[in-house]
Amino acid sequence: MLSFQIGRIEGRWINFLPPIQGGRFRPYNKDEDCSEDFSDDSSQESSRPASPIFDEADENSSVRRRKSTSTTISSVPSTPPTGEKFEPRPFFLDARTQEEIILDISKYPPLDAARQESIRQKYRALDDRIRAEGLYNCNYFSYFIECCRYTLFASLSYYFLRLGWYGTSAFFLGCFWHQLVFTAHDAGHMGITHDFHVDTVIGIIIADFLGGLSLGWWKRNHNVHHIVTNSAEHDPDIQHMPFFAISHRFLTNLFSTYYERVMKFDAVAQVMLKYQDYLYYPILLFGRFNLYRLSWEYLLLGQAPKKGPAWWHRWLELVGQVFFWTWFGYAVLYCSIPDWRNRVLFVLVSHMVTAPLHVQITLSHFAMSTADLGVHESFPQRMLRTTMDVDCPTWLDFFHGGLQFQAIHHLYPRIPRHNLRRTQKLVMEFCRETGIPYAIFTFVDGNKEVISRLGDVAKQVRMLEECRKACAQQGVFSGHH
Amino acid sequence: MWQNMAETVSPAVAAARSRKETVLSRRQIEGMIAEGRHIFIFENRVIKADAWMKFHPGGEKAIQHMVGRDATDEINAYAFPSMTCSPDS
Repeated sequence: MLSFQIGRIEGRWINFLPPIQGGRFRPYNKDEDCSEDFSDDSSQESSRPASPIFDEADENSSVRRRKSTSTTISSVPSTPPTGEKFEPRPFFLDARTQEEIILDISKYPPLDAARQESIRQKYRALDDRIRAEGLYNCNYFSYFIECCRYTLFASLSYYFLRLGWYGTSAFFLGCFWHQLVFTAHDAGHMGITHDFHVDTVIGIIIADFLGGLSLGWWKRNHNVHHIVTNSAEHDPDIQHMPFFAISHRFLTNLFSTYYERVMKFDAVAQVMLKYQDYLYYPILLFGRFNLYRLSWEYLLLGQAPKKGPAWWHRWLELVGQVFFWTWFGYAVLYCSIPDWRNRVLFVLVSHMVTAPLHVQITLSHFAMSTADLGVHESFPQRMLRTTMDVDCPTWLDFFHGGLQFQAIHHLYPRIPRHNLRRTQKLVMEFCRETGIPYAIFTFVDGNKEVISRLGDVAKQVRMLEECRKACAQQGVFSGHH
Repeated sequence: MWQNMAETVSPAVAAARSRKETVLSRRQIEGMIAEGRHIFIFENRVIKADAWMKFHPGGEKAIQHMVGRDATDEINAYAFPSMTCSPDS
C-alpha cells in the first residue's frame, strides 16, 4: 500500500467528510495562497455540507429525498439547504435526531481536537501494551477444543441422521453451524494465524464449504460495518428494512450507501415496523436464509475483487458452494431423507437453531447509539459509543463465541477470540482513563434493551401514521417548518 | 523502513522517493479529492488509493469511507500487516 504514497503531511490532519458521506470538496487552484490552510476553519467547513446525507452526492436519482436534518453536530441548528427540493416531514423526527446527538455529547468526552487526540494516543499505547503482553498470539489449543466441539456436533448430527431421527439430526447440524460461524469470523479478521491467505482459506472452508455462505460477502459487509458502525445510512449491519429499524431515521426513505439504493419506508415497512418488537425473534429464526441470499448476490453478481491478492477467493468460494449443495442438498436432504415432509422439517430446524447467532450479532449494536458525531470523533470513541459487550460467565464463552466482547473486538479486531477476556480488563482501564463509558449488559438485559429500542421506533412509526392521517384530514403538512 | 534501505538506488526510485517526501497541504489534498481521487492519510503519509481500490480484499466501500480522513487507526486495526510494512506491496 505504501507504494501508493504521493506525499506526506505536516502537523495534525483535520479530517474531511468523505465524498461517499456527502462531503464536498473545492477544486484547487495552483495560484491560490495555501498558507492559511490550517488556520482557516472555513476551508474545513466548506467541505462539510449542512447535511451528511450523501444522497446529494448523486444527482441522477430523483427518488432520493433531500434531507434537511443533519446527524452531525456541525449543522446544529439544522436548516434546510436553500434551493433544494425539500420534502416536508414531521418535525419530531428532526428534533429526535438532534436530541440523540446532544445526549451523546453529554455522555461522551468532548469532540475538541486535543481531547480526541489524547484518546487516540492512549488507544495506540494500549495496542502496544496488548502486543507486549502477547495477547495477539493465538492460543491454538483453544481452537483444538473448538474443533472437538465441532466434530462432536457433526458426528451427532450424522448419527441421528442414520438413525432416522431427522429433527434431532437437524438440531445438531444447526448447533454445528452456529458454532462454526465464530471461527469463520475470527478467520475473516485474520485473528487465527494472522496470515492473510491461510486465514482466508480457513474461513472459506468453514463459511462456504461447510456452511454454504460466502466469506467474501461477509468481509465486504463487515469491513464497512467496522468503519462506520451504527450509521443509519452507511452501516449494512443495521440496515434491515422493511423488517427492523433501530433509528427513527429509517422512517424517511434513507439512501443506503452500502446497497446503493433507497431503503423505502413503504406500506410493508410501515406494518412490519409497527410490530417490530414482537416480530424480532420470529424473524431472526429465518436469519440464515437471508445470509444465503446475500452470499449468492455477492458471488454471482461479481462483487468480489477480480484482481489483487484476493482474486482467487471468488473461485474457491464458488467451488465451496457446489461442495456445500452436494453434501447438504444432495447427499443429506435428497438421498438420506425419504420424504418431503421430513426434508422441509430438516431444513427448517437446522436453520432455525442458528437463530441465537442472529440475536448475538444484533445484540451488541441494536441498543447502542446511532447518532453520528461527525468526522472529528476518534475511532476508539466511536467504537465504544456504538458497541456494547455482554457480561457472561467464562464457561459460557463458547456459546457467545467472542461476540460477547464485541466492543473490545471493535477496538482491536485482530486479537484472537480466546484472548478477549483478558484484554477486556485493559480496555476497562482505558475507558476509565479517557472517560469513555464502557457499555456492558447481561444477555437478558441486553435483549431487553434491544426490544425496548425496537419498541421505541415502533412507537414513532405509529406517531408518524397519526400525523399523516391528521395531515390528510386537514389537508396541510403538520410538520412544515 | 524503506527510507533506510540500500544507498545505491536508480534515479527512478530516487525520484519516486522524493515524490513521496513532498509535503502536501490540506488544501491541495482537498483539490485532488475534488477531482475524484481517493486519498487518505496513513501515519502522516498521503496515500492515493485509486489504483489499489479494485484489488482491496476488503472491498472498495471500506476505502471510500476513509477518503479525506486520517485512516491510521482503522488501517492498523483491520488491514493485514504486510500491507502496511513492506515498501512495495
